[in-house]
Amino acid sequence: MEEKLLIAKVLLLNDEKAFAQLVERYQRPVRGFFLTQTGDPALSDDLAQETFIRVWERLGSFRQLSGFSTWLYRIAYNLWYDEVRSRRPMLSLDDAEGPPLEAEISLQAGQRDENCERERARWVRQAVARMDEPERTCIVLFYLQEQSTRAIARIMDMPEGTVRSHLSRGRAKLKAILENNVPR
Amino acid sequence: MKEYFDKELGTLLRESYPQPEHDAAFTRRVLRSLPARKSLLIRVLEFVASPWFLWLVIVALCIVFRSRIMESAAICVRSISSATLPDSDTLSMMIVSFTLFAFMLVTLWREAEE
Repeated sequence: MEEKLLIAKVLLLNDEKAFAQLVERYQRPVRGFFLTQTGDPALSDDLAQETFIRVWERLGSFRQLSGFSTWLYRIAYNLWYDEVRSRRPMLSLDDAEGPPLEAEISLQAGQRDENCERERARWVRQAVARMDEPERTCIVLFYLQEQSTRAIARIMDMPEGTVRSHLSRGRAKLKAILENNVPR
Repeated sequence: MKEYFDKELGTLLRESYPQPEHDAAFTRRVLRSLPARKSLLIRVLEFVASPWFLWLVIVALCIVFRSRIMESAAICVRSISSATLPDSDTLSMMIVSFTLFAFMLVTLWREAEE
């Protein structure tokens, strides 16, 4: 069913089945967004659940000035922003502490290629976790959630030029952290 | 050792972050936790109590009294050009009209900001 029709059904008829279809459609990207940010599957599901509850409560204020997904991400981002401000430090996907980036990776000869991919993924996640908040979120939304810079500007409530700067700085920082720290 | 960063950044990031699988239980959990939505009556009452209702009333009044407003505006313009004060009825009509117009603009501006 078309998205606008689902939204209309939820708004006018309080149709839970239509809302369930919206949740089904967007649960993966929203849970993925929070999982990338928190690294904690349980916490990310809680935040995603809270996001959909807010969508249910505030759907009446959706003005269709932007797409529904942009509006949804804006709610998710605001929730994440409040969460960061309220208490939680950034957690990496593996472990909040993790080994220092300068550490050596020692690999067994036979496992080298297989482990190499896993290790690389871990280093990338740690590098992203070490980035500053607006840059990290811009990178996550652009590369992992495949949002345009215009959509990110709406989601994060900042000018599009600022988003481009954050992306550019984020890319440079990420590259520097990875190139300076990961053994080749 | 294999080159670490031989891939495009997007690919590298996507490969590094496992995305969650679709979870039907999550949807059920969300549906169970939805708060009751306001009934149509409550929503109508809320609308009546909101600035938007007043806004609509003002628009309706402007449409109903458009000839009187235009007439007063014309008198005011004439008075300004001849450097005299318009009569008190016309003056009050214009003050009320401008106040309501300003209220409409402020309401629109605040809504756009939100």
